[in-house]
Amino acid sequence: MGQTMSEKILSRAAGRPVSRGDFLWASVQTVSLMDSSNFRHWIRFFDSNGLKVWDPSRVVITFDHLYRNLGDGVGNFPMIRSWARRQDIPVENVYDIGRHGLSHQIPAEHGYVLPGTVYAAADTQGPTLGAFNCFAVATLDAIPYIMATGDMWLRAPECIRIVLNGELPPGVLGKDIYFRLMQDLAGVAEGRVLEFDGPGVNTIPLDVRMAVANGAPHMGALTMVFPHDAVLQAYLKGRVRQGYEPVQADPDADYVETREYDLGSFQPLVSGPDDPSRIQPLDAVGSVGIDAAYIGSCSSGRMHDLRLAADVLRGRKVHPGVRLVVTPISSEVMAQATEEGLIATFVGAGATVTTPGCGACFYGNQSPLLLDDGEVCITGSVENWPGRMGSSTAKIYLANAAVVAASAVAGRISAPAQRAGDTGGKA
Amino acid sequence: MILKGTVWKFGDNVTSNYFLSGKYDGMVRAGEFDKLVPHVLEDVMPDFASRARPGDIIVAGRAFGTGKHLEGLVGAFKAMGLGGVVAQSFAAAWERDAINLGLPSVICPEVPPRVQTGDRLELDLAQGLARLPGQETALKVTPTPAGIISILQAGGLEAYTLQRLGRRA
Repeated sequence: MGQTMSEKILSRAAGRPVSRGDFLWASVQTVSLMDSSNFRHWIRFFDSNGLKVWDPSRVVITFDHLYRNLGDGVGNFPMIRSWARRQDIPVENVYDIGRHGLSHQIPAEHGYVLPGTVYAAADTQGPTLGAFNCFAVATLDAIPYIMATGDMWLRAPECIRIVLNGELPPGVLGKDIYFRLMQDLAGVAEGRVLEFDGPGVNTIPLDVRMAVANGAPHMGALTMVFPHDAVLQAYLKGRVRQGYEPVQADPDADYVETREYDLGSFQPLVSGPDDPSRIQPLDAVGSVGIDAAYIGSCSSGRMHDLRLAADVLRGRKVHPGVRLVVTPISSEVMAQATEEGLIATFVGAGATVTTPGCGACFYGNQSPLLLDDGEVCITGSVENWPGRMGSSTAKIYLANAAVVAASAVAGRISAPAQRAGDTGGKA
Repeated sequence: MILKGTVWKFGDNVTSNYFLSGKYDGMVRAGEFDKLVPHVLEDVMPDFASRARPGDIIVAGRAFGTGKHLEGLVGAFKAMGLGGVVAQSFAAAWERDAINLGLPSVICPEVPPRVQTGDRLELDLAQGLARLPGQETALKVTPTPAGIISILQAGGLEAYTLQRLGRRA
């Protein structure tokens, strides 16, 4: 029986052949952590035990959740900087203000994430980087122990093969793909890994693949793995810090299940409010007035999202009753969006654009979007649990960035094509 | 490692939110797990927290533990002294977080269909042997990998890592 991509990566990382169910200690290529991590506890673990990070050059620290030092355990920038120095983590690896961005983007942009390797993230959405043909796992509070030893425990997972054919219709994005997979694979994907395959994969931009893999945690899946192809190779060229060896699944790989999809059959979906698994087609959403709209986060803050949103907003105005906030995912994306004129389009349409990072997408956010009691928001960000983006009585709907932009113009949840004649107003 | 206790049986797809409302996030962030205990299952089984005894075992079907803020529920289960969770499958994050924090959460598909709430269960994780009510001989079941048992025996990944690095028990 042949091996899945996951089994190949983990066999390499374990130094011996492994197959599904096997317990292993996997060598980790890169560890990524961010400002909202539990640094106070972690630093105590290293200091009180006289420990050093196993390989400081492989640790990437991003400032993404917070915009300034809050002087508390989380977001204590001076404490993080000084710990990184004491641990000999290169100053270049600390993506401080000006080079900052989201922990699910920076390690990819700056060439730390390599196909065929294991990547460990401190943040829940870590599987996002499974788009890079690597085994990307979120391990939250286990991160300090992984940094101390350079390896992590895993059980070689059961894998589901997702075969993609055809091409995505215009205006359909990663969120729409994983929402459908989440519906179809409830009770099937939990604890497992989704591996993608088929001729359709090559037609999907890398930004969209990342947004798909971003959905793994909501499905209860361990991660997702995309194949290596020319699109990925082109992105990595000039970025990667060392050579790499991609993996591809054997033709007789041991999958527990195979599902086949025509990408042309995907459509914009909307999730919410209050529960990511409450999903319906955009067309089926009734008249829902909105107060706030957000484009950003590890789920919708990339160039592909910003371009589609700008296409919707160009020459139009955001509804006066709506505040639209755009947060590019990283400094690099912000620079590129500026160069392409997208930022001017957003600001010209009446949106505001903030410093890169997670923006409004988490409890306790410092974004101008921050939701008040009873407000209704449509967002391209990650979750819609009550309280996620501010008040716990606010209602949050999730949709792709183009739908968010169209809704911001209309003042109610709307499809991009329907925006023109829609005068908006809260239902 | 042997789990021995009274079974609390649950079905498929039981989320962390089912056990513990997100409104107690403040206590989770403050690490006040003792204070969370009375709120476990308060809406669906209000007497659970007072009736559950140390060593009791949560037995569930498929896909146990999707949802948010898992460390709060793991912490509350530990504060109650529960012996662990036995399920047909877990959400990936639950299995990782629970084991890292030293709460046994083991996949053993043979057990859930054979037990009910109130049954006595004795499960030898390493041997893969389950003693079930009304059965003379122990049932051969899926064993837990030795690597996972080592982490659990140390009390979680922090303590186990220190052992591996020769720092202290």
